[in-house]
Amino acid sequence: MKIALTGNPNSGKTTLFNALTGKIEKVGNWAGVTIDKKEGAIKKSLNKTSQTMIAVDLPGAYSMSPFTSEETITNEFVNNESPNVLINIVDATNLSRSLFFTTQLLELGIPVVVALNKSDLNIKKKTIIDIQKLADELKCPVVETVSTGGSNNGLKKLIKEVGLVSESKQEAPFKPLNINMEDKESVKESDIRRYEFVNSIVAKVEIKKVRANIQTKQDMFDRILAHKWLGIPIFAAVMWMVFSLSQTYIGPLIADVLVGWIDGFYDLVEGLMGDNVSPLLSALLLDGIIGGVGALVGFLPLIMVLFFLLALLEDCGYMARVAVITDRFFKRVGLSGKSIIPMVIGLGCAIPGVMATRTIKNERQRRTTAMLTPFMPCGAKLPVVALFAGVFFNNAAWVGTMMYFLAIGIILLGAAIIVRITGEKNSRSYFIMELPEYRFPSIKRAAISMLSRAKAFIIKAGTIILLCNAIIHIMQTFNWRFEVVAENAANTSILASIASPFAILMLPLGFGVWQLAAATITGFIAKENVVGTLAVVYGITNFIDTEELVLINGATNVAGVMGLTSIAALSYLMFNLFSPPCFAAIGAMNAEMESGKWLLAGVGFQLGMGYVVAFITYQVGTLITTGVIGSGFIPGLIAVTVMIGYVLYLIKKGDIKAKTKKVIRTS
Amino acid sequence: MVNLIVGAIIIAIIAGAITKIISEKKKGTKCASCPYSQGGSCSRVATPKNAEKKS
Repeated sequence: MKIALTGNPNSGKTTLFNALTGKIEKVGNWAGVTIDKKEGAIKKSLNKTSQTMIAVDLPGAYSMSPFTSEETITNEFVNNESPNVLINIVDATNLSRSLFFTTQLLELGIPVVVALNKSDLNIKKKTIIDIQKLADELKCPVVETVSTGGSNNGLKKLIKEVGLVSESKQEAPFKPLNINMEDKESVKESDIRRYEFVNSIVAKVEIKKVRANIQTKQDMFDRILAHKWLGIPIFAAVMWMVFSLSQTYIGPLIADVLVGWIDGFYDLVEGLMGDNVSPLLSALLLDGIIGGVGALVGFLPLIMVLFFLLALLEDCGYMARVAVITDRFFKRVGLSGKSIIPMVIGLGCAIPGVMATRTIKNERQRRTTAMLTPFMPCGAKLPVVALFAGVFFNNAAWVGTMMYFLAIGIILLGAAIIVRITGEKNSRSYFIMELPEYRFPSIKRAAISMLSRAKAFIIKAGTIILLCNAIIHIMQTFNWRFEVVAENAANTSILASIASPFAILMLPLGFGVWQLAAATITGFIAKENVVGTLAVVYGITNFIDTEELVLINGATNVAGVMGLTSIAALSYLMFNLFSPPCFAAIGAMNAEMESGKWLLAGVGFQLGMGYVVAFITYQVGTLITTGVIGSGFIPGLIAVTVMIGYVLYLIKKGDIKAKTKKVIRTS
Repeated sequence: MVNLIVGAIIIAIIAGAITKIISEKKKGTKCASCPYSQGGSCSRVATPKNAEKKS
């Protein structure tokens, strides 16, 4: 039996889906998190019937007349794939808006069960809904649910009702006019009649003790958190706190313990192998595989704490406010606040972030957002940030915070450039977002989000990163004649000969050595590779507890081993963060942009942006700290001037295009 | 003998990693192990271009 979960955005469909199936699909306390349908079998503990029930989680929709791509998915599934039962998730705190869609679903003839979700919030707001009366008015069963709740969440009753109605024929409580969908007035008239019908039901079943025009605590919070000017510094302070806790205080504390275990495992394997094993095999296993993967896994606690805190922020409703406060900046550069949603999703991983751009209707905005979303520091970039913050800046929280705000700045700059190049600087966009209720964040949901990220991180470290580290180690061990390179002739290795030409290009950025160039190149396979490759090429088994490094190369710390200044390290970090993302994310960009020209321009833009930002950071930073400009200034300046000059030329061309468009419109 | 055992262990680890990557790709995950990178291709979505293709 196929059961479709339908409802307005942010009514709690995916949370209900997870509770019904035991899956851990991404949830968020805001609209637009689900962009594709998901399927899963309903748990045996809930389904007491003999047949298997498959739940299908659909993206949120406000009506059966689709306006966005995700609404189209819902519309097409319900109309074409004939589900046996529809569970319509209705937000109990916003009954009048939700029932508009319900009345449309009831007309399809498919049995409907209404799940009156978020009932717990209604109790807090002292709003009473007469369930029986509502069921009578809608001519379908209504079950109160709390999908975020514990054992008494109404889910058993909900599934029981689904089983009971599955064979019945649904009656429609509202008879719509015969309307011509092409005629705007006719559609409007029909919608007005439907709203009147919905409002008449709400008037009969709902008793509100708190009037809508009375200022609530929520409004009071919004006046501060989503304030035009206060909103940004508050967001900066929140992010700084998140980074302090994850990168400076709690994260490293747990990381120290984990790194101790990894080191212990390294010593155990080394001891088991003894001295009889070939040094080549022993080095490949110890330094290439265990050392490389271990160095990356050492950062796991920092990442887990960060994702836990971000999940709490998202769950309490704060991230939706961030979308609102950034909207006015986005609007000025030709994007809408809707673009911030893929970017916030991109904090976890750039791929779903880029995929989320499909909710943006405007083609230019969609492509621009897909191009700019990978600038957000995703989960894979966090170990790189943590490594450089730890090694060169004493775990300072400002490094991570600065990278986030710099990413937002680069995105705004990028959008401003693209809107001029495309000749659409006169276009205006509007963004309406339903702000979710503030709620106490769920520790359980945040923990699930954190654990699923941690699992993904470990699997990635044990697959792609492990393979890359093994290959890097082999390439570093042999030369092109497949002879083992001598200890002091590492420059003759396969890896060095491939990475060296790239290292020359990086000289004006402050890191013109093949080891760092090699790490950057492997970063295009997966950004975590930067850490893994640095561990392999420099022979560092952990970046957290670096006491043992005193023994390596006579250096006293990791910074000494790498031979970088703090400014060059910052430049290297920025280049890795703001250059093109991993190949998988580029593939996602290709799919969402649907244009080879845009993809090529996007990757070129990302590469240019990374180069320019790193060049300015290194050269200006070196001038300020030492009084002289950095190495490779002149060739770097030529390269940067050519890039900026080309962008300015494209902008000029775009401005002419915009003027022509304006003339055509006015005439 | 010891070299053979260590060599076999290394090969097993690498083969395991490759198998896992292939199985993840078969599941439709765009980025190995990322729980949120599964999802349909954009061609299934009603972008204006796809709507044109359909009609």
